[in-house]
Amino acid sequence: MHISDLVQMARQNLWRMRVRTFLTLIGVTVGISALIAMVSFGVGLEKNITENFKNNDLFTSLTISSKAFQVKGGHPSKMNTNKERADAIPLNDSLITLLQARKDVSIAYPKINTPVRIALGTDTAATTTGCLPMEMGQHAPYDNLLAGKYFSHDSAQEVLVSLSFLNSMGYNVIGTGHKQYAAAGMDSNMVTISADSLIGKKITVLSTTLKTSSPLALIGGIENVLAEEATEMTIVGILPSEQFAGPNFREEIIMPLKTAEQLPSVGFDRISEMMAQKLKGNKYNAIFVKAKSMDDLKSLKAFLDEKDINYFAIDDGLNEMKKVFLILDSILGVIGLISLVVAGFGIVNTMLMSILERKREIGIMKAVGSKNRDIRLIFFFEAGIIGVLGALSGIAVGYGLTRIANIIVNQTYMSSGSTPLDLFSFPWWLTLGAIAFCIIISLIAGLYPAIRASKINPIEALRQEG
Amino acid sequence: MAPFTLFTYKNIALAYKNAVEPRVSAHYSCKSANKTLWQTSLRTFVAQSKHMLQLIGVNKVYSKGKHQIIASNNISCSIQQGEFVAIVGKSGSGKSTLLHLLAGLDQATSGQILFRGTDISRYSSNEFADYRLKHIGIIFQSFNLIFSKSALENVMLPLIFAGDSKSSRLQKAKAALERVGLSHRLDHKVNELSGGEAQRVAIARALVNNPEMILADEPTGNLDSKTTEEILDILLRLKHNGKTIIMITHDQEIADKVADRILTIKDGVLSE
Repeated sequence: MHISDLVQMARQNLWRMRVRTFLTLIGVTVGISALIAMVSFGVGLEKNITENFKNNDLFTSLTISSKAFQVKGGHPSKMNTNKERADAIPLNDSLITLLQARKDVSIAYPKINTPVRIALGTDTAATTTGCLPMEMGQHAPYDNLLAGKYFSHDSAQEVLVSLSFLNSMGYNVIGTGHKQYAAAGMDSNMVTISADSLIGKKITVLSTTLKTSSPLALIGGIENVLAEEATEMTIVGILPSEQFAGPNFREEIIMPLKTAEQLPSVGFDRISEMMAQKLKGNKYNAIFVKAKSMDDLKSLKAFLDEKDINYFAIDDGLNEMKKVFLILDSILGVIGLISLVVAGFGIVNTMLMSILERKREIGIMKAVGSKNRDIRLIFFFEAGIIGVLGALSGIAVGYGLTRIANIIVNQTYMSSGSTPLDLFSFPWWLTLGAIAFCIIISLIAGLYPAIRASKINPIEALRQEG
Repeated sequence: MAPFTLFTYKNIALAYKNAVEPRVSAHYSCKSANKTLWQTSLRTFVAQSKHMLQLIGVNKVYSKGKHQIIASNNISCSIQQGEFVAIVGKSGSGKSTLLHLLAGLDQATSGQILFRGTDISRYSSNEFADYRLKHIGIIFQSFNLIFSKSALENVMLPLIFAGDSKSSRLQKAKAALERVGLSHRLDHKVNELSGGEAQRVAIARALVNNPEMILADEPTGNLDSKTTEEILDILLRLKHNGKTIIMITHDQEIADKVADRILTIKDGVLSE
C-alpha cells in the first residue's frame, strides 16, 4: 500500500464519522493546549527572571564584602567565615586598583551607601543613597534612563532618582506621549508631573554626621551627638524601577562616586555594621565588580577564592534556581500530560467503536487480498491523523488562550508603568515536542485497536449484515 | 538429442501427451541417466499445466463446545485449468466451508490443497492474502461491496493492496467494469445500483487483478431469474476466456445449465 492511499483512506473514514472524529479531536486539543499552556507558563516564568538578570548584567557581576560583615543571602558555603583573619585583604582602593588591572574585570568600584533624608519640594523622605562611577553610564540599566542623562562628572552635585522614589514622594510621573509611569499604591493625592520637567530640579540631601566622637556627649541626648548636614543636588536623570535593577537594587538616590565619598556621614549605614568588628584597613563595606563575561566571572571567582576574599555572586544561585524551575516545569507538564493521556483513551475508544462498525468492511478488504499489516496500517494512520490534527489545533488553541490570559493579566494586575510582561514563552522545542508527543500518544492509542482490527476473522466479518 | 534441447515448451507439451500413455516410461527408459530429470520436469509441468487445484484428503473439523462438527470429510478432487465446476449442496452441507478453504479464508484441519502443485493448506495468513490477491477472485452471494464507495472505488480496492499506481488502478478498474458492461455506472455509489449491477461490480472486482481462478459463492442467490441469466452469461464468458471457475450453489438447475462438471456435497462428503 502507498502512503498516499493510507492517508486518503484515513481521511475518508474520519470524514465519514465526522461527529465522532470531531469529539475525539476536542479531547486531544484540550490535552495538548493544557500541556503547552502549562509548560509555556513555567518556561515563561524562568525566562522572564533569568533574562531580567541577564539584561542587568547580574550574571557577570559580584559583590565583595568584608569578612566581618556578611551580605545577607550570600552563598551558604561562604557564610561561616565570620572569623577575622590577620592576613585577610582589606577592602580599599588598592584592592580596587588590583581588580581593575585584571583582564577579566570590566569595572570595579566601591559601594558607598549612606542613610539620608531627602527634601524635594515640601516633602521629605528617608532613604539610602548609592553611588556609581562614570563608567557605569555605559552599562545597563544606566544607559537607558526613563528621562534625563547620566552624571556629567565624577564629583558633580548630581543625582539619579528612581521612579518608585518619586512615586513615594507623591509624584505621578508622565513620560513623553502622556505615557504613565505609575507604581503600585498610587493614590488620587498624587501630583501629576512630566518626567522631563523633573530634570534639573533641586533636591536637598540631609545626611547625618557625628558632632563629636566622645560617648559622653550622649548624656545630653542623641541630638548632642548627631547633626544633620544639607547638601543641595540637581536631578539629572530618572531611573526605571525594575525589580532587579542592577547592582543598585533598591537604591533610590544615586550619586557620582566622588560626590558620595565626600558626603558627610557617620561612616556606617546599618546598625549591624556599627556593631560588627571592622577589619583593620577596610575603607569600604563592599566593592562591586563586573566581569567581562560569564567565563571571566569564573576566573575572577577562582582568584577571589584563592585570596580568601568574601564575595556574593547571583549566578551561584542560578543552578539552584534552574533546578527549581525544572521541578516546576515537570509538575506543570505532568498536569498537562494527564489530560493528554485521557485524550489518548478517547482515541482508543473511538477506534474500537470504528472497528466494530467497519468489521464487514475489514472482512471485505481481507477477502480481496489485504494483508494483516495493511489493516493495521489503515487504523494506525487514522489514529495518527487524529494525533496530528489534535496537535495542530491544540497548539493553536493553547497559544490563543495564553495570549488572552496574558492580555488579561497585564491589564488587570500589572501597573501601567511597567513594561508589559509576557508570562508565557513558546520555545521551538515546546511546539515541536508537543506535536511529536501528541503523535506518539495517538499512535500508542491506535496500536491496540489496529492489532485487533487485523485479527478479525474475515469469514465471521463477512457473515455480518451491513 | 541432448535433454536440455528438448526442454522447450513444444517438446514438453509433446512429452506430456505421451506421458499420459503407459508407453512413456518404456520410451525413455533407455536414457536412464536422464530419466529422473524427465520425470521431475513432467510432474511439475503436469501440475502447472492442467491441475489448477488438487485436494487430497482434506478435512475441516469445527469444535463447538463438546461437539465436533465435520464440515469437510476427507475431500479429494482435482479441478483442471479452464474448467467450470459447480459444487451443489443443500444449506449446511459444508459447501461454503469448502469454498473458504479453497479461497484461503480458512485453514484445513488436515489434508493437502495444491494450487498449481504448491500446497497452500499450511499457508500463513499473509501468504493466503497474497494468494487471494494474485491468483483468485471471489464473488459472494451478498456482493460484499463497500456501500459508501463508488463502483469504481470498489473495483480498485484489491489494486490498492497490490500496490498499483493510481493511473494503473484506474485503467484496470475501468477495463474490468467495461467487461461486465458497467462502464456507464463508474461513479455511482453501490447503494444506488440494482442487485444485478452490484453483483456485476463484484465480478469486476474479482477480475481486476486478472486471477486464474474465480470462486463464486451462490453468485445468483440474491437475484431474480433475469439477472441470474445475465450473471451466468458473464461467468460463462469468463470461462471461455480461459478462467477456471468454481461455483457453489444449492440450485441443481443452474449448475446443470453452466457447469462442465458437477460435484455434489452432502454432510461434508464430496462426490461426483
